[in-house]
Amino acid sequence: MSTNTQHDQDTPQEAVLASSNPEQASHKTDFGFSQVDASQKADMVADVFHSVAAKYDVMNDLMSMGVHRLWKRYTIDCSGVRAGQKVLDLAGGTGDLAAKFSRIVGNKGQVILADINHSMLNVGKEKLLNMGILGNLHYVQANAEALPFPDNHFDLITIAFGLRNVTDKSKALASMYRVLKPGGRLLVLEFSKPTTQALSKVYDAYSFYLLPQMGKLVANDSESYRYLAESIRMHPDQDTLEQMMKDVGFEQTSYTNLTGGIVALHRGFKF
Amino acid sequence: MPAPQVLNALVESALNQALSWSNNGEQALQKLAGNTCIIYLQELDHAFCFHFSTNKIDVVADEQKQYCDAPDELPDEICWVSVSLFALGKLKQHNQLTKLIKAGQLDFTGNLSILQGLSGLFSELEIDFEEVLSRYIGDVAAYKVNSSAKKLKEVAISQLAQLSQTLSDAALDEKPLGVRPIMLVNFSDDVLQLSVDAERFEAKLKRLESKHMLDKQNTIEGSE
Repeated sequence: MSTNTQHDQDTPQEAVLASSNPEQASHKTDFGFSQVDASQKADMVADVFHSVAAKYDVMNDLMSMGVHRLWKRYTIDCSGVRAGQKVLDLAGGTGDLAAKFSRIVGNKGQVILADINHSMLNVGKEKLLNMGILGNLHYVQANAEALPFPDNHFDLITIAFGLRNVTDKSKALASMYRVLKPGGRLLVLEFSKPTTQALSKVYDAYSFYLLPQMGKLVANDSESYRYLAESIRMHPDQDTLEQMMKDVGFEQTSYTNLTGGIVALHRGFKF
Repeated sequence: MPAPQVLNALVESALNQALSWSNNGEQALQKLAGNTCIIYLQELDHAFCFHFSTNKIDVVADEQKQYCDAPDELPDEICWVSVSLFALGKLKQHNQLTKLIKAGQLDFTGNLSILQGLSGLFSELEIDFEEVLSRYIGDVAAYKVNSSAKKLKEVAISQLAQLSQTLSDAALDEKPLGVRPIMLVNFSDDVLQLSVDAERFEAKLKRLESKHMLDKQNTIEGSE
């Protein structure tokens, strides 16, 4: 299944958020450290990911020294997903989470790997087919702000390292809330703010000096990796993101800092 | 870094590596495909879920602590097992499961055949290490490494046996730190004999004492 439709069945809550969002009102949003027109951000982010898609997995391993696998594993461990359930892996990229979910939910379950970027989706699709994963896994090109799925549909939604690239994060969270079943949970794995000053300084040095160099050497693209570092700094911190989740209706929200807050896993439920 | 994630990544890699090395790994896994076995380790107070698919085992830690107690009801494709770390090795012995349950070392809910399947899975695996090695270093080198490893194992076993004998002789004869079993039996016999002699002496002493008391009483009565 590969759908390219933009869904516009926003709930009243989503509509309110869209109209009250300052980013939307001013038509300006951040793209790394620069301010760009909100309507252009999606295309600019898409260009970044078209550029890095082929080397995405290699770069992830290099940049995180393999630790991203443990962060993703922790996310799966916190999912509580069971056989027969429906899972949406948003901004699923090259399908690290979807592959495991597909095996866990089994033939009676369903996993949707969704990404706004068709290059990333193609890389993910090829990788998962080569791994022999098919049957219960479907691919959808979709914008997280307007998910093309019915209300109350999924038991679990995950978005790993994707939310910071979304233009209107509140709108995306509201859209996720809409498609989540009552009792379902949302897991947001995303770069966040280190909890100590010392780690923060080391992390800044690493991400602003070393990361673009690695990007240049391996993927021949230092600009995309500079954007990565900048977009991480512009992403809301742990408490702000938790509050944003509460604002759209999520309950029992919480977060866990991983590797000293470099990454945080946020959890929220819909009841 | 979260320890359970490191642990289950290692366990998962080891299990899947063993399956891929085995000639009948995928075939053995087919029986369990689509099932889940949740193993709660009592000492760690942590559960690990083993999800079986047609070609892989996925190990997921129970971060939500959903499975620290026996679930009330489970679907047919899930079984929950609470086991002590020390009894884990015994799970491989298929015929020991009932014994472990009776001994209280194993608690269990759900479909027992999944646990039996898991315990049977690794005893059924046929891993030919020489063949596995030959994929990486070639047939001749693999044969040589394998024969050398076998010889090394034999030498190690015989050296260990010899070392054990030497140490035992030294402890018994050269530095008498220990005793041979026959010496221990002799010593026990001597102690027993001494105990019998002591009892006999004590009885004789009592008899003499009572005779002396009687003689003393007769003497007093005669003088009166």
